Amino acid sequence: MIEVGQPAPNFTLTDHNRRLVSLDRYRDIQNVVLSFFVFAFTDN
Amino acid sequence: MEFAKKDTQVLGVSCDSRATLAAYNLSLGPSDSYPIRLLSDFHPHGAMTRSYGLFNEENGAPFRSIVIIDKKGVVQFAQRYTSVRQPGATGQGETESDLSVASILTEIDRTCY
Repeated sequence: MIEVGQPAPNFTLTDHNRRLVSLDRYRDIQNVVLSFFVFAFTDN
Repeated sequence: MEFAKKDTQVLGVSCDSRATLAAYNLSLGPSDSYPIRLLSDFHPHGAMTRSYGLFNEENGAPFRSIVIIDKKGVVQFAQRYTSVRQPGATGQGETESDLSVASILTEIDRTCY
């Protein structure tokens, strides 16, 4: 698992509305919470 | 909009397809507390999740986890949580209970400012 103090790896992914999201677009603007979940439509 | 007040965007990540996440988002309904965006790490499968060391090779999905990143792009918090479906089956490095929204907000205050 990534550790506290490390630079967060950048990524570009598609969101549920087909929009591209890159981590670096939030730089100096917003903090980011990544909430990894196991599978959609489950409790996980 | 508690997260917006703290200049924070919440991004949900799974290895489901984008179409699955679109249907899932509809099923969740509008969120009063924060606008969440659901990101699909489907193809190449799990590549982003792997880069955070959170890909479970056994089921091809992320470990249930929270990562908080500050405005400088530095990781300020990272924790794995036990599967909701298997309470008590805590794996190595996992914490039993999820963080509440309130405690995530507290963690942001503590580490990002």
